[in-house]
Amino acid sequence: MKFPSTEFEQALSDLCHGTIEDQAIDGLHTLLQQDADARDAYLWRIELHGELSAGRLDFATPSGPESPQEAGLVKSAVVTAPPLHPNVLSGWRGLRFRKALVAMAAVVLVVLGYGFKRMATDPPMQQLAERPLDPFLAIVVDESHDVAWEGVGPDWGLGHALGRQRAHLESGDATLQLHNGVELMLRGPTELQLLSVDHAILQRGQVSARVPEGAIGFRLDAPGLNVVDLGTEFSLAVDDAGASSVHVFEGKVRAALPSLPSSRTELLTGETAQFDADKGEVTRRLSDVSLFPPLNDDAGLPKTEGDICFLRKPPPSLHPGTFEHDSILVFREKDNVALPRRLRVVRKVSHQFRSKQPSVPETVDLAAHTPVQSYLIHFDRVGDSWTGGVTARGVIRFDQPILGLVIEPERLSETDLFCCHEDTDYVKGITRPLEMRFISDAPNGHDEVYLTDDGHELELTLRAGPYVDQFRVLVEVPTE
Amino acid sequence: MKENDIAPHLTPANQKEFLRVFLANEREILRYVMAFVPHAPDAQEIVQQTALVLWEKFHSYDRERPFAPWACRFARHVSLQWIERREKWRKLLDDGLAKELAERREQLQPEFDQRLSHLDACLGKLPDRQRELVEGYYVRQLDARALAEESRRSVEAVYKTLQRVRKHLRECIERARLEANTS
Repeated sequence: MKFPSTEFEQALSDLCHGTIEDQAIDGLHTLLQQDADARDAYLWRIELHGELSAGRLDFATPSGPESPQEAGLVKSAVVTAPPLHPNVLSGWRGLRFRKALVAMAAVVLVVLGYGFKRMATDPPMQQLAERPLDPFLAIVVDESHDVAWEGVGPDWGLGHALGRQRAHLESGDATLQLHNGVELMLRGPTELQLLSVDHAILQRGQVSARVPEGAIGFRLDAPGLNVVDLGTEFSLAVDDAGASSVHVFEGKVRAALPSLPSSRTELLTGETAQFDADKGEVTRRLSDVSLFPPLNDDAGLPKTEGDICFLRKPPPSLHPGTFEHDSILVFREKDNVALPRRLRVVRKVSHQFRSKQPSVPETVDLAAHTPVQSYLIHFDRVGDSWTGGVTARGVIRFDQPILGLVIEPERLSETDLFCCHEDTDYVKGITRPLEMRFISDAPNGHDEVYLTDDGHELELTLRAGPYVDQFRVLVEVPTE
Repeated sequence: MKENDIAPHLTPANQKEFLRVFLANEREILRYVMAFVPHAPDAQEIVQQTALVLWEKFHSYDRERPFAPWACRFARHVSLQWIERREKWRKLLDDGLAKELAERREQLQPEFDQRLSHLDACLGKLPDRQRELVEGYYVRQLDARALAEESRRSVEAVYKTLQRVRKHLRECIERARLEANTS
């Protein structure tokens, strides 16, 4: 390998991408040993790549004087590493010691209520029989007061995630939201196994499904029966004898006994059919809708896409580690609360990387006594890394106009006083604010919240570290 | 083992302090580590290991001094140990090359910082498609396969474009530097 050369540039690029071949490594090593100019060129290329990787991307602002915080950080980047005492870390080379460090950190983090959740504790969902837990396929977005899940801890339920394991709902009603937007309402006793966001198996019990346009083709099987959604709301029930019934609330489904091709049946709105796999019989009959659990009316509720789930009820706890999944949760805290005093809220936050707008958000003062609906956005990542983190993205749309966002830590605390839901145990303090550039403690912020021009929709990109992200959305109260 | 046996020095107050200073300096530590190990996921793993060491050693941190240089002492050691255990990296940085590069980087650091002061402006000049690719790779941390799917290109084309973008940035930075020096 020579310098300068295309081969040198390619080797460095491959090195940065992690795709370098052994032969190129040998050539690069020899070159760097021999050529001082190549070493300088190597260091500069790596420095630039490192700077980009470390997050110094600021497409939004033209270059100019930095904030004092940023200037301080940049200054501190001029790192001169003093010689390290050879014994400083002696004795921890072994894996055992490393594990001890991990364990130490994990325990302390759990005491703190921060991260390392997967390493440190067995989440409640791990008590479910089958593994692996990942990928997370659905979130429990609603449940009745009498709900009882089998095989999980007593605190498991609303806001928690289901993976590819069998969920056993002993009693009560529970609604799952799959990541593709499919809603499944389970009425206990029911056993359901999610195989993917497109496919689930009902072993016994009753499930009603609402399938959005983007998820048409969702398949729900019962023993000896396949039901494929063709754009609909439908219900499937499997009785204790194994007989299955399908009812269509709205739209169309196709159902068939796979052992009997002639049984293939399309059902339309209001139609019901019973399938007996043992006898190979299909019986169409008039529907008794009361046999099938009705789906909850979602009119007026915020609509979510992507990694966001709207919880129909406030969760009992928001402490870090409560929810072992990577979805952003939203719930309504207060239906109608009057602001006790004037409140400054954020009305416009630019995309940090995509627009030329300044990082300082537009704010507006809401007058005292303004009635608001209050929603809390909560993101608690899974993962054991302090770097990188988990990024969740999605969109949430409210029927009513958004009056403002409460993002800054001090205003979040201020609004806690009158917005908090009384049945929810909140986490407060430094662990929860977003890392956005206009937050003084987070000049290198990476969270993005974008309020669309029509004032009804939020686009979120949240990247949580070993703690939670939270902010509050204040929405106009609907008129009767 | 009791909690106090594991980390007797970690009171709730300095636990929070540790989180605050570590997160504020995480970027600089990562950048430092990447000078040894440029592959970002590997570097992030090293930073993670460094965080644990820093946590353990936090009681010895002198609050009067900046955190980043103190942290980078440990990051350097963790990096070298990490390299030692991986044949590919050992082959590249063996025979004292790691030490030589680290020393040279220290010498060049003021110049690098001066060059990097033009980076934001140069990023702002990238065409939209290139900027989106850079954002996807470096900010959203998508891998090449995901970026290829997103942008309907081949994985190879993604890598090639990233290489080209970095070259453009270096050229842009060099031009900006010359302009600044002549004006």
